[in-house]
Amino acid sequence: MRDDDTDDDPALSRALAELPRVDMPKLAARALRVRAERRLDGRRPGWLARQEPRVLVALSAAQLVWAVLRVLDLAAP
Amino acid sequence: MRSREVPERARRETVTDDVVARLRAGEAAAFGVVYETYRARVYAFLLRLSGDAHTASDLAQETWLRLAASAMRLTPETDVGAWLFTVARNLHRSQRRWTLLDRDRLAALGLMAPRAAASPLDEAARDQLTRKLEHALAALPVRLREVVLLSTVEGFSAPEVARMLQLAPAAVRQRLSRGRALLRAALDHDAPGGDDA
Repeated sequence: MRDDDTDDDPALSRALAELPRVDMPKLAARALRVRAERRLDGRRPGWLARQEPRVLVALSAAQLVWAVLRVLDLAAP
Repeated sequence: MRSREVPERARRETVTDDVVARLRAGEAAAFGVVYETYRARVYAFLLRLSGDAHTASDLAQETWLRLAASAMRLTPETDVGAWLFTVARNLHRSQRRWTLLDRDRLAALGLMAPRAAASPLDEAARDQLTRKLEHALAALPVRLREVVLLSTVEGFSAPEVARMLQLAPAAVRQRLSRGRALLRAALDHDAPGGDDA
């Protein structure tokens, strides 16, 4: 606690402040960092990612047109 | 009485406003700086809150992934340290609710798993006093333990802890005082010449 409070037991405060800092296993820590950085990067969409919805709509439309043409072709005498 | 000091270790380990600004811009290097500064602190906090290495690891992962997902929504004034500890504490709180439900169910079915024998905190303890202190901390009710950890171990001020836990500063001081009294009583009780000596 900071200077807006008083310390009734400095020895206890010191012992608590000096508790050993236990860390994650190194490999797990490294893997987590890579995963989190990837997610951070994923939050910044690139040009291709921004175009993705348009590309999907265009492909769907093209497929629909192709299907219609195919049906008309089969129906033709 | 003298002024209670911020633990030296916690005071040293903060990040600058410049790092926060770069993090808000989505810069991976800035994320790396924040990660290396707070990783062990957040993990140790969660380990002492939950008492279980797997739970602490899962909650730490979720905390860091949330920072990555929210980095661009932080404000320039955000204290990243306080943000991380707030998220970690809230995740633990919500996980605990589910665990308690699960434990009740498992106990009802007679399927409670035995507790792990040695915790990483026991292994890291350098001496007898540290080991006793870890055990006394683990025995504190969670609402007192989180206040002791955030204020005395991590060095946040009463108003900061109050904001993090959404409590009044007076309530934080009261919980801190109660928590410290229980810790002192536990240490005195175990000490030679204590109650049981």
